[in-house]
Order: sequence, then structure tokens, then C-alpha cells
Amino acid sequence: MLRKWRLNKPRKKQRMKIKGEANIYLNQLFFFIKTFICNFRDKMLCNAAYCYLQIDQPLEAVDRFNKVTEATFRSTIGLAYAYYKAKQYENSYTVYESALELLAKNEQEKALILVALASMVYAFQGDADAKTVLYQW
Amino acid sequence: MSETKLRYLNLAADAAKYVIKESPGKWKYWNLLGVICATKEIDNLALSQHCYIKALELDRKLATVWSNLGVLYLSQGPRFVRLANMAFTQAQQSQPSYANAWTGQAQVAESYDRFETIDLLKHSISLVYTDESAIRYAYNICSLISDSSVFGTDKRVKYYIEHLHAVSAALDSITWYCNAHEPNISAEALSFLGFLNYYQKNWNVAKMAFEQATEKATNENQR
Repeated sequence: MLRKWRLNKPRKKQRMKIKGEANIYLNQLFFFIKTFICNFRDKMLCNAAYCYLQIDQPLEAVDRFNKVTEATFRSTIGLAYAYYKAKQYENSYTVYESALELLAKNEQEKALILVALASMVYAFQGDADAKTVLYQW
Repeated sequence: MSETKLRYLNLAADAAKYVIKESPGKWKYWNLLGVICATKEIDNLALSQHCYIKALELDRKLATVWSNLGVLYLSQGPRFVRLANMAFTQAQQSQPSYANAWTGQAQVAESYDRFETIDLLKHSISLVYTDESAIRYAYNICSLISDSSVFGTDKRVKYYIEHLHAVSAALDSITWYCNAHEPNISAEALSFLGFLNYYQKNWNVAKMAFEQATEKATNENQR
């Protein structure tokens, strides 16, 4: 009887441990599947928004870009460009700035955003301010 | 549902065995039993292989049976890829117009050579439309275009796109696929359709495809 009890106790603990581990793995699996589906949905929304930009419907594009759950570099610069095409220049500038600070990973991406910002500044405020923007990084 | 399916499959297997006992000289019965045994529910692959080989002993020029044998080997993983390739080659030699053999060989080639796969799939589509070859061809062309390491630098890619009109052919194949699966098109197929239309600058069609793909993905996410 004693021996049985001794055998049973670790078994129960082990079972609980295995159950806990299984729950962790299942949660991770569900998270992965959900992330994968969300990523796919985000990519599709992004692609649809770029199509709207090509056919000159920037407001529709803004709507699609805003539905993206996890912002990426591509979606953010697309949103900024859509705002620019919709003549909402302040929003466009803000989004470009946030992309520059948060999402641009390398020099090439930063340069891309800075050129866009500088061209906006050049169009509205002249070359002196545009130079300031370009030299800030 | 699966229990009913299993019951019917067992009945079918018994019927096929009875028919083989009555007339063992007909390859179609052996092939039938082989197909039944290769289903997921019954999963008797050894018997399935035996049946296919028996059928081939009756007639060595049976493209269908060679192709089925190839699929059986292919489903067993990389260890049997060479055997699968040989079976598909035999199927092609027996009947060069049998599209499934070309599609199967394209699947074998997928892990070795991307361009070989594209050639085989294109040949398969030119023979007859099949779901597998259509969606695989579209997938391969999409991955070729979106692969920045080869696109624009590799001369073969340029040749495929400019001279062999691979994008137009892939667009045709995925359009056929979407038409064939009209109410229940998968989100992935819609994304290929959108991507290829975007590349061809058909913005409106691309937009609609991406919108549908988003809708599908949202539904899947909510489920």
C-alpha cells in the first residue's frame, strides 16, 4: 500500500507537469496559427491598399491600411503615401516620422523615408528646410 | 462521418478482393484495390504496393498504375523519391499524354530544381487542366517573381518571363483554378491571383482578389 502511494505521488506530479507543458505548447501553437493567419490577412490588406493607390482611390487605401493589426514598414509607408495622395499632408508627415523612428531598420529604409519627407518639405517650405530634414540623420 | 467512411471503404475493399478472386487477370481490379488500400482510413500501403505491382505484371504499359505507384512512393518521404521518379518516368513512357505523371514528376523535382519543376508543370498544364498542376505552377511563378535574390539578376528568370510568358501562363492557370473552385476558393489561391494580376497591372482584378482573400482570412481567424 505504502509502495503504491510512493509510486502514485510522483506520477500525479509528473502528470500535472506534462499537462502544464502540453498546455504551454498548445497555447504557443494557437498563438503561432493566429499570428500566421493575422500576418496573412495583414499582407492581403496591404496588397489591396496598394491596388487602391494604383487606381487613385487613396481614401480606400487609408481605410485598408488602418485595418492592419500589426504595422510593418511596408504598411506604414503605404499609409503615409496614401495620406499624401489624399492631400492630408500633416497626417502623412506624422506617419512618415513614426515609420522613421520605429520601423526603419537599415540605412536604406531610413534614406527612403527621409527623401519622401524632404520632398514634401521642399514642396511647401523651400530648400533650406528640406536640407535640414536630410541632414538630421 | 469517418466511421461510416471506413465501413464503406472496408466493404469496397472486400468487394474488390472478391472480384480479383473471380477474375485475377484484369488489371483494373488490382488497381482499384490498390487505390482503396492507399486511402488514409485503411492505410494498408504494403497491400496497395502489392496490388499495383500485380497490375503491372499483367500489363507493363499502364500509365495510371505507374502513376499511382509513384504517388504511393512519394507519400513515403525523401527515402523513396528515386523510386517515385522511376515510376513516373515509366508512366510517361507508357503514355506521354498522361498529365498526372508529369505533375508527379514535377513534385519530385520541386526539392531539386525550381526551373525543372516549372517546365514539367507547364507541360502538364498544356496537356490537360488539373487542380494540382494549376495551383503549383502559379505558386512557383509567384515565388520566382518575389524572390529578390534571382529576379532581375538571373538570366534564366528573364528568359522564362520575357520569352516563355510564364506570368501570363500562370495567370491563366490560376484563373482556371479559381473558376473551377468558384464558391470556395482558398485564400492562398486568391492571393496568387491577386499577385499575378498586380504584376500584370490589372489593378481592379488584383484589388478584388486581395479583398476576397482578406475576407477569407478574417473568417478563418474568427472561427
